[in-house]
Amino acid sequence: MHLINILMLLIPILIAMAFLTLVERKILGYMQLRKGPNIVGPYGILQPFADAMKLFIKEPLRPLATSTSLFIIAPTLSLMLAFSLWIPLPMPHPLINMNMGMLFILAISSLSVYSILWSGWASNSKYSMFGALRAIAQTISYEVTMAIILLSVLLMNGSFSLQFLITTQEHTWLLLMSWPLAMMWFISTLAETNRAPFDLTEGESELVSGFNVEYAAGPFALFFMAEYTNIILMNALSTIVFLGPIHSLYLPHVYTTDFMIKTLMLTSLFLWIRASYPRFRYDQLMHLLWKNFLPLTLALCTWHISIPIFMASIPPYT
Amino acid sequence: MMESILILSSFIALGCLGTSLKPSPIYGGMCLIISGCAGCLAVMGLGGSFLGLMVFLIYLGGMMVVFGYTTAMSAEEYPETWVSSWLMFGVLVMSIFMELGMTFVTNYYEGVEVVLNFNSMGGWVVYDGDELGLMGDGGAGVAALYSCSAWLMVVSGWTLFMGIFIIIEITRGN
Amino acid sequence: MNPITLLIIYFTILSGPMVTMLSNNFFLMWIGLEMNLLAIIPVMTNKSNPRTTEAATKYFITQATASMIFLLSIIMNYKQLGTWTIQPQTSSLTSTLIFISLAIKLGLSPFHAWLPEVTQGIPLSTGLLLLTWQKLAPLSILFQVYELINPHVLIMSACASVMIGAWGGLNQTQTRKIMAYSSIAHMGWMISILPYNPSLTIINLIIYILLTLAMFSILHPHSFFSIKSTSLLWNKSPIMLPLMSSILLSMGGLPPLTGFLPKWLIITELLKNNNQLLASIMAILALVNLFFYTRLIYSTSLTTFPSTNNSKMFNHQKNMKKYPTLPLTAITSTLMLPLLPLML
Repeated sequence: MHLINILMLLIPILIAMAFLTLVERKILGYMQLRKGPNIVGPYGILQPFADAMKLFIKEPLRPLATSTSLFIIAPTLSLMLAFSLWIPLPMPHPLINMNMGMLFILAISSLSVYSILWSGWASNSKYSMFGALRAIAQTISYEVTMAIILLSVLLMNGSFSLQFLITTQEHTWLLLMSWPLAMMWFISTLAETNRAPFDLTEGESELVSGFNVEYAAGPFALFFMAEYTNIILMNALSTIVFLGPIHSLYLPHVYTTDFMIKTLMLTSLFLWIRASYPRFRYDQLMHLLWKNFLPLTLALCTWHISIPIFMASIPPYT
Repeated sequence: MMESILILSSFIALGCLGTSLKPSPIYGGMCLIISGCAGCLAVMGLGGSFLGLMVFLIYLGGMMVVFGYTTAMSAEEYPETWVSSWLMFGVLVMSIFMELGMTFVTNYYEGVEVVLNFNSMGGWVVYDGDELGLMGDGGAGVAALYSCSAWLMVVSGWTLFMGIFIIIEITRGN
Repeated sequence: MNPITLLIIYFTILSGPMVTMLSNNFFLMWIGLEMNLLAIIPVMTNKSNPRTTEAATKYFITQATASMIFLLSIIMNYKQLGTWTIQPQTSSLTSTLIFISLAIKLGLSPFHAWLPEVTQGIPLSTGLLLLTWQKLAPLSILFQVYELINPHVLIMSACASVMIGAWGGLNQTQTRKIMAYSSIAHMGWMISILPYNPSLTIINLIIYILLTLAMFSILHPHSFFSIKSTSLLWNKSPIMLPLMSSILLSMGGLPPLTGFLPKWLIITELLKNNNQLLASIMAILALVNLFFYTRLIYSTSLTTFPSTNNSKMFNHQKNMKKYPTLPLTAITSTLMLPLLPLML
C-alpha cells in the first residue's frame, strides 16, 4: 500500500475534524443568539487553524506526579485508534477492504477505552481518575447495546462486511425496517462518544474537565482531535449502516456526496442535541441503558433472528 | 508474513515478560493488553480473522477493561515500574537477553524438538471456513455439539455456571 | 451458607471426581478436576476469616497451576496424536507433565508445600474433605496413565514424599499439619507401588481414607487443633482414649492393625521386584511417622493438662458429642487385617 493512499484518507479527515470544531461553535452560537467566532479570517473560517497553532506551540506540561510513559502513550493511542477506525469504512471504496469490517470497528472502538483509562490513571489526580472511571463505565456499558444492535442489523445483511451493506440497501434504507433499533443506535452513539447530554465525563461543575484535566497543549490537542474524529466516524457509520447512500458502479462520487451529506446532517443533529438538552444524571444514564435499552435490544435481536427465517428471506451468508 | 508473525510473537513474549516482572497491576494489565493484541493480530495474520477479532473484542474490549478499571481504582499513587528500581530494570534487561538467546539457539538449531517441532508453523494456523460446500464446518460442529456430545455440553455448561456461581458466592460478602 | 447453595456446591464437589473417573476423554477429566476445584473453594471459606481466605487462595493458585499444566499436556498430546486419550505413543514429556500436574494436585513431594499450609488454614471438616475426597480424581487419572509415566520419576517422587511426610511431621504441634504430613507420606507409599502393582495403590487409598475418616471423627467433634488440646480427651470422653490410640497406631502401620496391611503388601511387592533399597528406606521412614503418632498418643492418654478440679468433674457426663461415622470407621480402620485374603 502506498503512503499516498493513507495520506489521502487522513488529511481530509483531519480537515473535516478541524472544521467540525468551528461548525460546532458557530451553530451553538447561533442557537444561543450570538455570533460565535468571527474574527480570524472571513466568518471565522481560520479559527480552527489558529486554535491548532496555539495548542501545538504551547509548552506541553507534565505534572510532577504523573507516570510519564502512560501519560504520553494515552493521547497518542487515542488519536491512532480514532484514525484506524476509518480504515474499513467504504466511501465507497475503503482503504482496506475487510471481510470483518464491522467486527474490526467494534474491536478497535472497544480498545479506545484504554486510552481514557490510562490517561485518567497516569495523571495521578482525583479529578481525572473519577472522570476516567465514569467515562469507561459509560462507554463499555453502551458498547454492549451497540454490539447487539449491530448484530441484529447485520442479520439482515448476512455478513460482517461493510461493503455488503451497500448492496443490502440498494432499494431501501435499513433505518426503515429497524426503526427502534436505529433510534437506540443513534442515542448509543451519543453516549459512546461522550457527547451532550451524556457528557458526564466532562462534568465541568464537579470534575473540571474529566480525564484530561492534567493535559495541556499538544497531548490535549490529540485527545480533542480524537474526540471529534470519533464523532464524525460514528455518524459516518450510522449513515452506512442505516441510511445506505446511493451507489452506482459508474458514478462512485454520487455515493461519496450522498454519504457526506448524510453524515453532515447527523453531525449537526449531534450539535442540535447538545444545544437543546441538559445533562443526564449518572444513575439515569445507567438506568436508560441497563433497564431500557438492553432488554429491548435483546428482544429485538431475537426478533431479527427469527423474522428472516420465518419470512424465508435469509440473506446470503458469506 | 512469517516475519510479521515472528515480530508479533516476540511482542507476546515481551508482554508476558513485562507482566511477570511484578510491576504495579496497571502496568501488568498494560502488558497483558499488549500481548493480547499481538496474539490476536498473529491469529488474524495466520488466517483466523473471525477468531482473532472475536477474541480481541471479548478479551480486550470486555475482560481486560474491567480488570484495568478495578486496578485503576485500587492502585497506589506512586506505582512501581520497571525503571523504578535498578533490580527490576536489571531483571527486565536480563530476561530480554535470555529471550533473545533462546530465539537465537532455536534458530541456530533449526527448531527445538519438544513435542511439536516449533519451527513449523503449519500446526498453528487457524483457517476460516470460506470454502465451498453445502454446510460450513462450523455449523456441522455446532450440530455435533448438540447431538452426539450433548453430555459434554451439559457438563461444560454446569461447570461454567459453577464458575460464576462460586465467584459470586465468594465475593458477595456477608 | 444458604441450604440451596450448599446443595449445589456439594453436588458439584461430588460430581467432579465422578466425571473425572467415569470419562476416558482427557478433556472431560480436566473439566471434572476444575469442577471439584471450584466447588471446594466456598466450602473452605465458609467461616470467613483471614486464615481460611489465605488457605483458599493458596489452594486455588496451586490447583489452578496444576490444572493448567494438565491442560497443556493434554493439548500437546492432542497436537501430537490427534486424540484426547493417552496412547502408548504419547511422548515422555507429555506423560511427565501429566504426572507433575497430578503430583501438584495430590500434594506429592516435591510439590507438597501447599498441603500442610492449606490444611492448617481451613476447618477440620473441610480438611477431611481435602485429605480424602480431593485425592480421588487425580489418583484415578494417575491410575489410568501410570504405564506411560517413567517409573523412575514415580519412584523418586514417592521416596521424596515418604521422606517429607516423615521428617516434616516431626516438629509439628498442630494436628491438622500432622494429618497433612501423614497424608503426604501415605501418598508416597501409594505412588511407590504404582509402577508395580496399581491395585495395591487402590487398597492403600481405601485404607488411608478409612484411617483419616476415623481420625477426623475424633478430632472434629472435640475441635482438637493442637497436640496440647488433645490432652483434654480423657476428660471429655474417656472411651475415646484407647480408640484414638489404636487408630493412630494403625495409621503408623503396627502389625495387628489394619494400617499394617498396605505396608506389608507394598513392601512384599517391592521386594519381589528387587527394589530392596526403596523398601528399606520406606520401612525405616515409617518409623519416624510412627514416632510422631506415638507422641500424639502420649499426650492424649499419658498426660494431664493442668486444669481445675471442677472442670474434671462435670465434663464427661454431658457433652458427649456423637459422631455417627466413628464406630464403623474405627472398627474397619483397626480390625481389618484378617480380611486380607479377601482383598487380594
